[in-house]
Amino acid sequence: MEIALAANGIVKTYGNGPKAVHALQDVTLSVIPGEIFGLLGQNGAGKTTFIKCVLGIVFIGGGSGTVLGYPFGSVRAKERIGYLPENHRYPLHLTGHQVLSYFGKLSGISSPILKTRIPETLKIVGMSDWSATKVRKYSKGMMQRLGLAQALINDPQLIMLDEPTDGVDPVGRKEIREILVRLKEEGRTIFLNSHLLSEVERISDRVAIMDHGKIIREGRVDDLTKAGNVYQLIIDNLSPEILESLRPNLLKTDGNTLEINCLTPSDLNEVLDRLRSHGAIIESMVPKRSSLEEIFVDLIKSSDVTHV
Amino acid sequence: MYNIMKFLAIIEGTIREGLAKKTILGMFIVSTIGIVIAIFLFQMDSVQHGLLSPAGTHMYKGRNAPPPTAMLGVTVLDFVWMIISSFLLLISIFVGSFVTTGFITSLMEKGSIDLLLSKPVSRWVYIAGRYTGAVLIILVEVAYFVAGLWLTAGLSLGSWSPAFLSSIVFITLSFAGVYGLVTLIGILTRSSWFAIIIGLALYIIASVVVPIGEFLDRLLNGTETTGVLTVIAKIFHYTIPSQGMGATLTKVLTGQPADYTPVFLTFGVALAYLALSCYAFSRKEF
Repeated sequence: MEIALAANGIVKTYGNGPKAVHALQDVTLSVIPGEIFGLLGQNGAGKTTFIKCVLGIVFIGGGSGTVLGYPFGSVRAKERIGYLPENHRYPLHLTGHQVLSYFGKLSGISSPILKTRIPETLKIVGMSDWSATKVRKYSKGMMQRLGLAQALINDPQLIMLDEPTDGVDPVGRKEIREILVRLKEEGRTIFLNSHLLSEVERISDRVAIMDHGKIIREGRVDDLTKAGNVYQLIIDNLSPEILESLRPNLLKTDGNTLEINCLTPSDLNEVLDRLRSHGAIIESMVPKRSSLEEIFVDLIKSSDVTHV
Repeated sequence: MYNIMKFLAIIEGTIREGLAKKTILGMFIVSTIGIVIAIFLFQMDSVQHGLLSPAGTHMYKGRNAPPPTAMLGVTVLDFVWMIISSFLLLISIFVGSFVTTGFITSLMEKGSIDLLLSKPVSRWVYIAGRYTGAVLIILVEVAYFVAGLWLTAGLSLGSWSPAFLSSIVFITLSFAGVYGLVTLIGILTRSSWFAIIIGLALYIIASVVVPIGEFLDRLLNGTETTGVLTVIAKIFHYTIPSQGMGATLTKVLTGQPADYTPVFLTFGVALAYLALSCYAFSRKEF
């Protein structure tokens, strides 16, 4: 399978000597075509620097990387990349339509194609009614939508978004999430930089967690949030006898909800048999998951301890 | 074709940015006022008579010495064109740099540069496009004013001086030369103010540095021979663009044989500064 983005031991250091800032330290990750990949980290973790390395806005100090089959920063690759930077600024004297026309032309799209492409893109982000309005009159949320339209103007294969829902109200965030899911369904690859973990968790297939310029965990969201061998059960007619029958496996009770620990599937089946033999009515049973936020906080805390 | 389209888009973007600036619009208004005043003045009989008379008769009237050869066959109008062109040359360099330096530094502002560098455009194209856009704005401004005056004089006085019209090229080239230097400083410092102050200061210093070098050499060596200081001064003088352009323009306007070396030098040095600017921008991290 072709990899949309592959970083291998990327190093980026700003400055020299004792004041040098090691923004990226041996960053290795890969993004598979057609997935939504979330890069998570606190402010200053190195997420934006990583995107800047991919796009050639800053130059890497070590390692190597390819994006859409070309080296990082390649003009050819950028033809098929859409990028929404954090805190982006557009010329305030232009209208939304003119902004898209300008960036569309910079992306190499001819004027006749732009005539149809601009209204289509504005429609996707729900900005059709504002195309003739000067950007200086846009709200933060509208600017973000325009930014997304700008990132989509060249019909990109890979879309890189740096804090795309920053400053957007909850309704706007939901709409942006829906747009991203739709884009994924169209077969595009999305690389998402964010510190809004719940949002990333909802839409990302895989994530990497970055701290102090290092990737400290990478994997599928499902795998990362799965809490080992812990299952949550809801028992309708919970009684002391039933609880007693679960004793060796029981971790926690909360009303009718139980948490049990089963190391193997046969272990789990054996517990279920025990429950049924005591006349328990099982309403539901799901593997327990931690939220991405919990995972993230735990990882950052342990990483901080290491750094101290 | 593909890159030309992007280059043209950057020029278009620069011109749009320029038009959004009140100062550039203000320069057009001032030029229009100047042309309108000229239309009124050129209608007056006394002005018409005065402007078309030989310069020597007026300027050397009542003096014992005859007018210099340079003034023979030159009308007062030619002198007026010379004064206007020289003034316009300085205005275009100083005010023009002031108005257009922002085109380069705004390119590098946070929030804007990331977006631009994410597009499939070679970095140097941005600088070349912005530079060309700025020079085109000044060209149109100068051409509008000069051609307006030229047309007014032609229709009112019947004087169609091609030399005055050619000053459009001299003035625009002078601006382009200094703007190349200002662009380079702007990229290196990322500050409009630094770029303007340092660029224009270097231009002023280079204009006077050769006589100062010669004077110091005479003071130190006591001879008329060219010393080290003069050589250094001359090297500095010739590496700063647009030096001697005013003198060449004056000679062209008064019909004297002109030395075109400053024109070729300015063109070459402007290109060199533009190339250096493109290189510096290509190597810069944002």
